[in-house]
Amino acid sequence: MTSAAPTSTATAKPDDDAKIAVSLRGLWKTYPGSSKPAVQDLSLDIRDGEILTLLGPSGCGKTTTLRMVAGLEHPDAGDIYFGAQAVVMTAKRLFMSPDKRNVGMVFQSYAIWPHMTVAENVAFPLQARHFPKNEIKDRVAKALDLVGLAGFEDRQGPLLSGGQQQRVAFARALVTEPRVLLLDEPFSNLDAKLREQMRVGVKLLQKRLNIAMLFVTHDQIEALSLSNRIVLMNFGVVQQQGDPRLLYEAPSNEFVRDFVGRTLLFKGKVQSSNGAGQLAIALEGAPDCVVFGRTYHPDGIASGAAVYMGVRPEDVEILPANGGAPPAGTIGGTVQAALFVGERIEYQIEIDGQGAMLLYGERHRPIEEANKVWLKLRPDGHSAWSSNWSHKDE
Amino acid sequence: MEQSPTITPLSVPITISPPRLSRGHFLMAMVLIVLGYLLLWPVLLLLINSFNAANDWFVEPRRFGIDHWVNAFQRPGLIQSLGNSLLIWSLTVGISFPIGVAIAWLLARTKIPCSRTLEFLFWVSYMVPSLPTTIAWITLLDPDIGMINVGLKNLFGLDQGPFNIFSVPGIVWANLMGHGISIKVMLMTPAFRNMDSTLEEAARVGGASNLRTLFKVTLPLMVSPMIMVFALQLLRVFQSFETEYLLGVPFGFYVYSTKVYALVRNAIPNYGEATVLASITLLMIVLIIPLQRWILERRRYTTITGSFRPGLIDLGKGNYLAFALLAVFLTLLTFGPMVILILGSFMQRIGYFVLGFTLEHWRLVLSDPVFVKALRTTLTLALTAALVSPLIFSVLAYILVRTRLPGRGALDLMIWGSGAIPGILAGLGLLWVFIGTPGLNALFGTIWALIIVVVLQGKTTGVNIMKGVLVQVGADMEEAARVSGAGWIRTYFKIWLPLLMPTLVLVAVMNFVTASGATSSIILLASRDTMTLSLMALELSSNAVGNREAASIVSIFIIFFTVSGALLVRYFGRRFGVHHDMRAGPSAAI
Repeated sequence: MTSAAPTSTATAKPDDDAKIAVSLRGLWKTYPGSSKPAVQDLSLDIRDGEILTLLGPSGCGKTTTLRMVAGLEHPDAGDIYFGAQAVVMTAKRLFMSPDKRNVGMVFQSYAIWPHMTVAENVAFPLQARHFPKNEIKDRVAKALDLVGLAGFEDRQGPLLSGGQQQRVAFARALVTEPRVLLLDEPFSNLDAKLREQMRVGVKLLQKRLNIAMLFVTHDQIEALSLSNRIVLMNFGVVQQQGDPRLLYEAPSNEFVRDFVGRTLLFKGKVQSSNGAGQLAIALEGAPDCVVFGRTYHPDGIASGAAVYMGVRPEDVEILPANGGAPPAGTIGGTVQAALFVGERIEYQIEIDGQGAMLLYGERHRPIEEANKVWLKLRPDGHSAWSSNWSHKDE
Repeated sequence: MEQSPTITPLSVPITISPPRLSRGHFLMAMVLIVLGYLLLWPVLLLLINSFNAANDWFVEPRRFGIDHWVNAFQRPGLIQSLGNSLLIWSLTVGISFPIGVAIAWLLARTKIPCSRTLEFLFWVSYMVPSLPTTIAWITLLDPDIGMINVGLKNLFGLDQGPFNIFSVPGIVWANLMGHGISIKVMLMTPAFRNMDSTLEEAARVGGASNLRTLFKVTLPLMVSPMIMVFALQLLRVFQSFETEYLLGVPFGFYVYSTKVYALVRNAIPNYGEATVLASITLLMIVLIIPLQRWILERRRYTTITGSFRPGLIDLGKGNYLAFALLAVFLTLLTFGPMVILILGSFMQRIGYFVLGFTLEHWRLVLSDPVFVKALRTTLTLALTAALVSPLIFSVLAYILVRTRLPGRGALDLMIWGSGAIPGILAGLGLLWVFIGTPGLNALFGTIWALIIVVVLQGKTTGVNIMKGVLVQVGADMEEAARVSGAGWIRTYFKIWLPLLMPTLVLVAVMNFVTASGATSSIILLASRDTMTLSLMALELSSNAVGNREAASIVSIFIIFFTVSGALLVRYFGRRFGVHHDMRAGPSAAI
């Protein structure tokens, strides 16, 4: 922690202070001229040493939230605390300007000042906070070393590649050792290969520094792979929050189900249900295929109701048909098209009683087009829905 | 998710900001009041004063009535001057438009040699004010002493020169040679260049011949920028002054602007009818502006393209023919007049080659205290405009682009709309503001009155250029600095100023050029003490004085300032990639 950062405080309980780096309480934000709030009643905590991701489609309010933490937007209502210190309390008209907050931020465009060298860019936050000269020098060198740009000090901003610019942006954001680092879609301007590298790089960096990160992205792969926790937003409202596995395996509503990962929707009928929301579902078009899933709907779904079963593509195994009827636990289909995409083969399969779906098969066991197949679903762990609502249709 | 701990706010480094945007609101109110007072109020004052029926406004008390309106409509030639404005404008546009389109097409879409240089030279010819060009054409086409007329008389033994610049065709000719053609080339060439060549290529691949592609794809695509340029030209109908003043007044031909001037500068000033004429003109402008805006807005997105690989047409030998043709045009537009002015300045008596050459005129002009003073006044005006306007325009652009302050729409409209007010009317309105405001009336006749005019003159173009750059630079440059711990002042000096400097310089030079050539906007506000080079040249070459040799010399100075400014603009524009935006507003077409 730098001298500029507000750390130890007399009023807060030390225990809480160590845990929560940033907390947001009841934030509302409506842009002038817009009728819908960009953020509605948002509350969340970012713990020290945690990567918390705000995930959602464009316009869902995630960037607005990040900018309110940075101090670049004023919330209409709600409070923001850094540890125990209040930086925004709308009821008391209290607003700490961004330059006083000591957060690090990496912009989507990186915002590397083109009229400065790499070293000048990184030194800027230190100069603004009046660090002594020799300490600035040390810290800049350390920060550039951290991101692997030692030796680039005198390079001009515009002469850097996209990946290098991003690393300068990280060095500049980290050089004051802020308590929280804000990342606004930092990988979206990189090509696919570099993006993968940088993702690993950021994860390692974060482990080393044990810093809290608030990370904004619309890319679910980035969110799933980087985050300790994900907050999935839509229309300014939190849809679900939890660790990546929870969002993927137990989506709480249709939006979460469709936004995180791919979901195949099978039509079926509820055979039986229990109080915990577990359902036995018979698939349409397969007389002998019953699988288990659960519903998160508070009222559950009654027996006999028509439902959609949410199945992740990797939970379906494609077997070549050996003639005759599909065996128990499988559903029949016909391969319409097989697309070799490298690491796997994608099959467009017309499934009996269900319609056409895109499924993934192994590269080593190709199945010719027009052949019959049997699809074996994992017996349980699916989700059940009373509608096929999809946010993509909106 | 766990409950938040009970948290108490610390008081240490936090500033509790008073009602947040109050400083911003205050600034906005100030801007609207000051600009409204200088841009909007003068115009309204013209309308109001036209109903002041007092005969002598300085002596009699204000009395409202429509006497002046009645008189104005009865006075022969007054309303007709508006018709004359339209006549000159229609003839000029009618002839220059097809020529401009053809030249722009040659420059942008064919493999003509040195097309960039040729385009730049057309641009230079646009930067040269029309006053010096007109003076040069008088030198050539005066019926008695014009060099061409004298030459033809001697050659064919004619009694009278065949050409007369003091005629309607003469005025149209001078307008064409002044800005008429060059402005259309300047506005249309970049638009034609940026046309997406893949559209043409798609037509070719689709089986259309070269000719078919031209008629079915290229020409329809060109129509859009052509309409835009035409819309921008609509307001030019009321802009011109100098040419009509020098060429029309001698044979009793008045357009509305020279009429206004004549009424005000009469031995007994007829302010009443001048304001009536001004009001009618303003009403016409008010009708034209929405039409113009509608055309520009509607067409805005049709020419946008990301492709910068225009498919160029090879004219074969025609390339060189076209080059030669454009060289002739440029000679007529710029270089011819320049050479003539230089030549004329050394002649004993313009048009009389037999009398030989002399340095006497130069000696007289350079030692004339009036000239020295005018030179100093012009430089003061131009340098002040260059220094002050970029600062003001950048603040205005910042307010418009970066803030969410209320009143931005009004501010934008004011900047846009006032760009459409012709210089002579703005000057007349300001005259009344200065005279009518206690405290400000001391400014009348001083250089400060002129400084206000020239500083604000380039506002529409200047603000629009700054707006474009602010959008381009992006808010995140500034936000990154704020998040990095920099306050407003550090952000301004360390981030904004260095990033915007090239554009500020560009706007500064452009304002230097307009200020050094300003004529109609300041002519009613200037006094003997605050005469500029333009006003001096205008007076010297008018029939009343008729010292054309001296007028040539003063014109050479005006050309020198404007052309060197143009070269600087090009240097900065090239170096920093700042481009002109043809949608910059009506004053871009002034």
